[in-house]
Amino acid sequence: MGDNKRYPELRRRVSPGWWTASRHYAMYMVREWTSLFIAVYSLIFIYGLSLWATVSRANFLNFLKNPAIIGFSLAALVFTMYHAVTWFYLLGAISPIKIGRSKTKPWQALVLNLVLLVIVSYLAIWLLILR
Amino acid sequence: MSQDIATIRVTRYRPEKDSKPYFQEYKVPYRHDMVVLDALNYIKAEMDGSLTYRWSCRMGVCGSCGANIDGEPKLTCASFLHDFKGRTITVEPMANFPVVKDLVVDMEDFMEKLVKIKPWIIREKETPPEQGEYKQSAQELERYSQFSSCINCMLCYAACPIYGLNEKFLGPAATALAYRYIEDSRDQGKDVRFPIVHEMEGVWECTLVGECSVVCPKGVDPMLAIQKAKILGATNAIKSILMPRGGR
Amino acid sequence: MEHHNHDIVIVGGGAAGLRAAIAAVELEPKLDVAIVSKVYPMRSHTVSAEGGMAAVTREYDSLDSHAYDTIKGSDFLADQDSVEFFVKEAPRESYQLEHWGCPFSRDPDGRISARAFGGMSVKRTLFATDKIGFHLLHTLFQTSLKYENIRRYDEWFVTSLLVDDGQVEGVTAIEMRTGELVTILGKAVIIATGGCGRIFRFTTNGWIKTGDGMAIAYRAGVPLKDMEMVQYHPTLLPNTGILITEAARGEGGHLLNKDGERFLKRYVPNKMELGPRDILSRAELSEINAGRGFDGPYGSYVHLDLTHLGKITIEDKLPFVKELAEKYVGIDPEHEPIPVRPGQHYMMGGVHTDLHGFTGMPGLYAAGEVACVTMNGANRLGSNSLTECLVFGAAAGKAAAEYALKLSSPSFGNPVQGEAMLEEKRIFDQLLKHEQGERISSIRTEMQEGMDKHVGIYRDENSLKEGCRMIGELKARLKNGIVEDKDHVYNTELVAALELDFMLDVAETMPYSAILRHESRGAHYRTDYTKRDDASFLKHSVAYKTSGPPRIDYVPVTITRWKPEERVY
Repeated sequence: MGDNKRYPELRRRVSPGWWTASRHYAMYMVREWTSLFIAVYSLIFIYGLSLWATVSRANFLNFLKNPAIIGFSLAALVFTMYHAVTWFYLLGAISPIKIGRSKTKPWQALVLNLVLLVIVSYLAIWLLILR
Repeated sequence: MSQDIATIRVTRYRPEKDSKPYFQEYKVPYRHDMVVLDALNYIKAEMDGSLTYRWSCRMGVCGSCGANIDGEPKLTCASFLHDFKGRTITVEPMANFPVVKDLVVDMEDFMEKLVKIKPWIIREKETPPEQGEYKQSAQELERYSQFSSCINCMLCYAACPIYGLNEKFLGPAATALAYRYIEDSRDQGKDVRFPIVHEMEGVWECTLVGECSVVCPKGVDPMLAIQKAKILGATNAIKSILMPRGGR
Repeated sequence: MEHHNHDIVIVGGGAAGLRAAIAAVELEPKLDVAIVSKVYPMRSHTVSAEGGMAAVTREYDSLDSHAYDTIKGSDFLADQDSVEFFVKEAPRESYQLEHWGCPFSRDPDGRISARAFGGMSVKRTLFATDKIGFHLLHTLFQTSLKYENIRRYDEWFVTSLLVDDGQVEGVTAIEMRTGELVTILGKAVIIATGGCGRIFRFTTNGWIKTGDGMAIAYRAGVPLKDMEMVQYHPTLLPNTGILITEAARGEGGHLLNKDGERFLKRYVPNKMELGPRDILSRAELSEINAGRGFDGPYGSYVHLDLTHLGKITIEDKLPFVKELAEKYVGIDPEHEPIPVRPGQHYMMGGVHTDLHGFTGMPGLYAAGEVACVTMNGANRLGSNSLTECLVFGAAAGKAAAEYALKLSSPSFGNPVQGEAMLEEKRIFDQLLKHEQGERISSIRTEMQEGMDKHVGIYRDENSLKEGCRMIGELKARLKNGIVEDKDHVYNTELVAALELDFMLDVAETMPYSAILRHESRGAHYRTDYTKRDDASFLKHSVAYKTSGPPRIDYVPVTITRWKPEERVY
């Protein structure tokens, strides 16, 4: 109640460099920027798959062996893992499983999901490339 | 003879005198078990009675004494001087809030959001208290008790860059409280609160920075509440498409 | 001068104030109720209560048992009609709070859990882990947001009561945000500002407990009753005074002296750690004075041992105790005992009211710690206070509502306007304008240390005389005090000066009441009169303000069914 028009409160603007204030904020921005990178990578990979559909499987595999694509793919792998780790940890925090008196911890969900990720990745690689 | 001294740099802003805030430094005698609030009280009592800040319980339960200490939102009554590097500590008003004077910030935006989410038990039928309590099991209590621990200190808003950039964002504490009522087995007000929580500036503004839960002094984990609310909202939307006429 | 008009004005936004507001608008939804609080309501000191709230909810319990425990706990100074009213209303208030959403801890059958507490003969203290005050306050505050007719003045500091021809007309209050003095008129005023623990240096109370409501009622002519009855709680952390709840003892904690002995077997052999607070506090001091305490940098202390309770009990029932001990004294109570010593905690005394919260002055009511009904007499049992706020808050709210419905609104003319203008002068032209003088903080510190020393757990003629003299001197010095902050906007130093002014008035009633009570009863213990004297002193002291020292008179105690007997545990 009471609106003081003589001495209004001081409003402070958030500066564009707000995210440099702490390591937490900086890592958050890095995570957000990497999604752009991953989006671009997905388009490139779809293009590669289209080569298999329209030309031949050998063409697709040659595309993958291109050093630029390998470099790009490695970078994408690192960024995706960063997202995956954050996401799996979060899943573990949101939906812990109750065992007796205690609940599963987020790092346990992380480990479980990473193992699943490795298994699924191997299957995908085997299907696409090794077979 | 040398006494341990700590240097406290405090933001001063007196609207009747100053056009903008500035730092003032005070030297306080240092004891290893001092909290920042002790230092502020010493300054106000012994050196400068005009230093202005909020506090009351001094035990971390009333939520009055939030501030940005060395850049991080903390309660002054729960921040021990020995936890900071060196003996110089910078105390500023909580980020993302308009400043009234010195360390005191304006809280009206949060008070409005508090009312907006309707933080009371909503039921179709009430039984008279004479008939006894609504039964609730320990498991039902656990579904929401963590989110009922919020002391309204608003450190989470000070930590959230989304709130800093967009004041309309419902924000961590308000969403956690709304979720607390949604999950309370005695409450039947889901239909009333869902639209508020799931509007554009509700949970969907949150991009998982996660800093709110890091700074929360009571372990409420508001980020968790927001993500859980997102899942509830999503499943609710799917249900209403697949089963338009019923199914809860 | 700006002025506002409401049907009921409630000063203070804690448990009692919020409960009164809800009771008033539920009785008559058209009533316009204002809550004026110097802090946002969720900061009210109710928030720090930990242990629980007592009510008869179980088949093994009875209203008579709760009443008898309370009356015996009060050392037979309680007015028994108010106790009977209290125990009868308590269960309904507890279930109502639960209906409003309070997250009580639960038994396996889904009922609200109950624990043992000091002075209670059976388990009747309902709890929410060990943060009942926090949950109760937030539940009440959030529920109050439901009612559009409850308007709040947050961070408005009430400075005086406006009285016309013996009838209350409203209050004057400083809007902190702008620094302006504003008049808030009401047909009825309910005072719910809590106690005055900050009169003492070593107290569990927060900064805001400065006896504002007691002072404004006292200055308006309402007497303060039983002011010599100050409760000392046995388990405070040394130096900070942070409260370690009685629930720690309720769950099985032990008090040990330097020899590792459960020394209470020599003082209260039957109840041991669940004896009443006054006896336990004195027992601890006796042990310390006999050299059986521990010495620390902040004075001597004894041990509160929870190490035998087990991880599960502490995590489920006492998590806040664990957090406080770890944070503020660096001790994990699962493995080490907690250092504790007795300190000020609660005021049994306060504004004289009847069991409807009515003070005797038309239009003026009071409820909660600020009021002295009295149901607590010379010593309050733990966990009765929160229930007291609900029961008498509701009673005062209803009584004020019924009164307000019969009246027309007060108008802002003379003499009320004249009074308000004088008040403005007193604060802004006199108090604020001093350019030199003694600092507020130094007068305040002397008062606090002096009160601890002279009006403490053990008193005698000399110490109380010194207390009377000291307060008189400090009051004179405050007249030449200086407020360093000359701003209008959010002037906390001006507020501190006004609070100190209140505190000195209220503090004065304590030694003056105590020095005339030539007996020891409950929390009032005199080394020169160690026995209880029912023949001469089974009565309440009432202190009236004069231009000099307070005038002390007496009113009788209401006895209904329980004859005073010897009080042993």
